[in-house]
Amino acid sequence: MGWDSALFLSLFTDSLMLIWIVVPAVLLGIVVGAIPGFSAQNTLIILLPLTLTMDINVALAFMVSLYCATHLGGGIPAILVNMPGTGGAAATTLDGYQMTLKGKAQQALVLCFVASTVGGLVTSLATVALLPYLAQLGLYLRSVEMVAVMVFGLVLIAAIAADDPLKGIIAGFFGLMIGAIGTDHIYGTPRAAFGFLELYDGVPLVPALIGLFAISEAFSMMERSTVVPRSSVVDTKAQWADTLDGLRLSLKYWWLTIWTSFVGLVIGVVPGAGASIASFVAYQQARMFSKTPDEFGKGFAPGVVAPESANNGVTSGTLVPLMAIGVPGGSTAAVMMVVLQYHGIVLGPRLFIESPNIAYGIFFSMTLSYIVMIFTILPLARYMSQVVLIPTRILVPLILSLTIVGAFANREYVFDMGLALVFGVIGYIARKTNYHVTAILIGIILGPLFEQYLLRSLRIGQGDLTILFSSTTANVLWGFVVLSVVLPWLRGKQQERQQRNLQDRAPAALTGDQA
Amino acid sequence: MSEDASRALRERRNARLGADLIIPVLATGFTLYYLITSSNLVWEARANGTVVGVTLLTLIAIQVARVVIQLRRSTGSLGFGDLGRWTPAQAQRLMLIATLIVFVITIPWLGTTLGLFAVMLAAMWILGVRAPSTLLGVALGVSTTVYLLFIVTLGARFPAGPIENGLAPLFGGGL
Repeated sequence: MGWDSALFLSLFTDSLMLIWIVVPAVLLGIVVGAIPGFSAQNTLIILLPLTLTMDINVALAFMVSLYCATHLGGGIPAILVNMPGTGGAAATTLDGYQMTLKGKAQQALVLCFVASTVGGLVTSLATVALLPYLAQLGLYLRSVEMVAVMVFGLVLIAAIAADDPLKGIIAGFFGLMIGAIGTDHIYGTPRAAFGFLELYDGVPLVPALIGLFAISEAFSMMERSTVVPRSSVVDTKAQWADTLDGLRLSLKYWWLTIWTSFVGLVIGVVPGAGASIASFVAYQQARMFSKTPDEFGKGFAPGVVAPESANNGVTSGTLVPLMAIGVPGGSTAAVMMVVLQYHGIVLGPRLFIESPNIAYGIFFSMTLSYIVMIFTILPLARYMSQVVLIPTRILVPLILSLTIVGAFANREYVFDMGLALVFGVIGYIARKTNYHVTAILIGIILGPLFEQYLLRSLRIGQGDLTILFSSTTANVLWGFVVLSVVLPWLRGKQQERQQRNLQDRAPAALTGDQA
Repeated sequence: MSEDASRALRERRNARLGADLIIPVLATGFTLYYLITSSNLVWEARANGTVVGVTLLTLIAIQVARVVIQLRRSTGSLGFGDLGRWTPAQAQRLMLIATLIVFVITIPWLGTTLGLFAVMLAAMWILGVRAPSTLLGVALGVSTTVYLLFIVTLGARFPAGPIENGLAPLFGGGL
């Protein structure tokens, strides 16, 4: 299906009807985004019992609005306390906090809000325009290519997002292995279910999600007394004149806002390459093309605009692979996939023909949420710095108890609550030892799908594994898989060599000085 | 070389490699269990586990080899770092896990509202909250909100106990 103005207009009007859920979701998202370590996916997980009972369109509007608003909220502590609320706001600290130290916190906040909302709005509309063509991609992918796509996605997440690519890939394949628990698709024989009837249908995604993200995060969070130390909160008394000055600066850098948002969109489409990478790339590009690159890092407005615009551009991009081929590009997309699957929605190219209201509606809800953000955030800006002071001794019990109860909601088994706790412990160990939890979760989610495509390929190839290398597209993808493993390894080796050379040179220089 | 890269390299040099092996050991154990218990099934039921499992074991072998090389170069030890250290936070974490296990076991009898109230109270106490007003206020607020929002308003079929069953004639819910 191509561009259909009538359909899109009617979908946008439909999304306007969802404003009653978009407004609270945006407000909640801004608050949650402003609390470091309390991410969009954790909030969505806590609220799963709520979203699972909602109509699917309402649930999607709620989830995307909250997701987009967290990206905006993440910039608030980055600017005010030099601590990014979300990974995507890490680059914002470079100039945002410098502006705060110069007494221009309100201007920096306004720049952040305008860049975030305009960047997100532009890219969500661009995605709607491009989606009919991107969706065609799924039609060219058969089972062999899908196996390669899934391995490529997992390896990319590991290579890009994890500190140590090998650990990331191990985490991804561990997830795939866990995803293989349950009865097989053809004969219904149980495999590795540890004797639990509750695992015959496979590992339930909701407890896995809750454990790996929310519970493990709560276990890590309790090492601090408040989310952000009180001493680092700068008192900012905001004036309306500063707000207007921020708006003037935003207008001045409108073109930077637009093109860096597209940097975010493109990076967002790549699985694993989320907002943190996009914001640093946009910051670097903005600096490269600037007439005054030396001003960056000293409280320069474009240093706030570029990363904030890019990290909101990512929000649309990350949903494209989920909608087009059913592969989640990141952890929040994975949460959304769980809710969509719960409602029996089959993702992929057919979704655009059978349920265009869902496939496109999600992006119209996103557009609406950005419009709502423009009107809600400016008056709230001055009160935002306080939310980071919530004591963890209250926050941690809240997260733990509510998420464990949430694990029950999907299948109504007490077993799932225990399973969430088990995944929580695994997730905590994985976090502490740098095995990427998102890779484990995406592996668990993709596990059953991976088996389905692998079996289909093997049946066509009569059990011969070389069938996986029988198509040009798949072979190109396998090539990318190899490259994404080898390149980070080579880069690591190069860095190690450079470090060794530096260390060798240092004693020599000292000896020379003494001589 | 960037500062981040040097820091990463320094961290790798002081690595606590024992902790790095926990996930590989868990993954190896599970993979072997999977492969052994599914060995007598038809090939279609074994294929996925074998392909993924063998790849995983190969990756783990590379990771183990890396650990061995680091040990031989004396750039790391087999310690467990933060995970093996007995700190107040570690003790609190273990007590929280024990509390949550008790919560999961007793929820079919206590019900969601009473169970949540008790677990919130216990968890806050473990984390050092001592003010009775905070303890009771937060625990009561959370359990009442969950009861009213999820059980009464949304009709979620959470485990019912004395509170849900007692209030069922008034608000619905319960068994």
